[in-house]
Amino acid sequence: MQGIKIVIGSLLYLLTISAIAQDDLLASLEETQSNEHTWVEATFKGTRLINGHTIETRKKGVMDFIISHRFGTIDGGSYDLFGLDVATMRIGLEYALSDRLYFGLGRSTFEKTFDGFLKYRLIRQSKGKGSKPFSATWLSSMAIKTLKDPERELGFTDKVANTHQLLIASKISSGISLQLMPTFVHRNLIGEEDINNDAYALGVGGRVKISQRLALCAEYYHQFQKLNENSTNAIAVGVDIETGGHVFQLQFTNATAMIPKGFVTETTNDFFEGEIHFGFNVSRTFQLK
Amino acid sequence: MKKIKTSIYILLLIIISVSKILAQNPLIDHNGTATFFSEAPMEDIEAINRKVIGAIDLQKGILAVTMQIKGFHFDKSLMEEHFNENYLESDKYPKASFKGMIKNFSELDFSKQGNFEAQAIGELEIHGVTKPLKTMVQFAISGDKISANTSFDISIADHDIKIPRLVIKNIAEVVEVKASFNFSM
Repeated sequence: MQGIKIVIGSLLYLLTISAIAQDDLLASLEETQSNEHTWVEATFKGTRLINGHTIETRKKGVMDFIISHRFGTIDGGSYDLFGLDVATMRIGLEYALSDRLYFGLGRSTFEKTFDGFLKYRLIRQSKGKGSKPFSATWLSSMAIKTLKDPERELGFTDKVANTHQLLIASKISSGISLQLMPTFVHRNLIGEEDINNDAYALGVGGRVKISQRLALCAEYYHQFQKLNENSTNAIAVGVDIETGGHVFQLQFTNATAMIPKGFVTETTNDFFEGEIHFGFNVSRTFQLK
Repeated sequence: MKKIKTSIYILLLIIISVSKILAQNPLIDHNGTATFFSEAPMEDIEAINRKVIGAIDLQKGILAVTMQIKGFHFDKSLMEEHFNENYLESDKYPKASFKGMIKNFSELDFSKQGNFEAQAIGELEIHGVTKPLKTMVQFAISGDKISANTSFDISIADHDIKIPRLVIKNIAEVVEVKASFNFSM
């Protein structure tokens, strides 16, 4: 009896030992792996937060086609169906030359503006060896207003405005990302009521994921030096909906323009008085290479 | 007297198994590859991970494999993003792993040159869900090199990976996984 007990006991014991050994082997492998470097991906769903850019660029060889729409302000009431009778839009085509360098061209109906931008990922958030707690992307954009001025003849350089932004973002958890956007806007020619050529602003924004495909976003640009006194700070709240190759972004914002120099400095609506535009951005991604 | 005998026996057993663990010298490959292939009506999807860590203990016939989910690369970068962000949730579950052993290990001779097949049994963890796995492994031994290749099917539903209705035609419910390792003794 005793002999059988010992045999069974030692068999069980050996089985436990081998299970422990498996765990040990896996654990020791995972230990060497835990310090492996990995990039933090998808800080935001798309290249736009709401009005402004996110730190995100597309991967090399990817083209994005993006259509943005802002209806009239909802305080117009039922007469123009809460703004739906009025629309301004922007069509844009963007391409990633590398995983870090991204550029785009666009045309807005608002003031018949052409725009172009270059975006470069300076720092990418990562984990493991040599980890970085945040991402940083540089954005330089140029806008050329081609709406004819009946009062005066303007040269090309007069119509140009430049914007430079440093976008700094951190994906704090899988569901929460925050972004800071120090911004500088320079306009070559100033309007009648304007007092400055240059404007300085700081934007803050973020997203909270509510499911795998839905996220809530908010964005606010605070101006420290305005172009003129009528200018208000751009506020936007929105929802991101992801469906495979598309990102739909629905938003409410007091800004009319969809390019940085416009919404940062030329917004005049008061968000809290109901001067809010409903709008959307739709982006479709194509893998060209 | 019997009790003392038993105690000595158990003590010896402990010493032997502890020394076996201490003497453990597993072969490790840090650059193993794992691929998976999904065949679906809309499109075939293939991804490859070239940084899979695999180990085999030739004293005990124990196997272990671990890989970063983010190590899988796709042809389409957006697919890779969705794979990590929506399906595998790689921020929450960064790794996939296997731990197991070779069946009939004592009957196999790893010191002999040539090819043979063995069954591996163990547990596969993907997306935080652990499931038992049985798979045939092809071993090829030449010189001081041992290569190991295996392929098996996994059902994504078994591992609680949810595919939305909208893209259900793009992704197969069962995907074929292949893994290969090269060890040197």
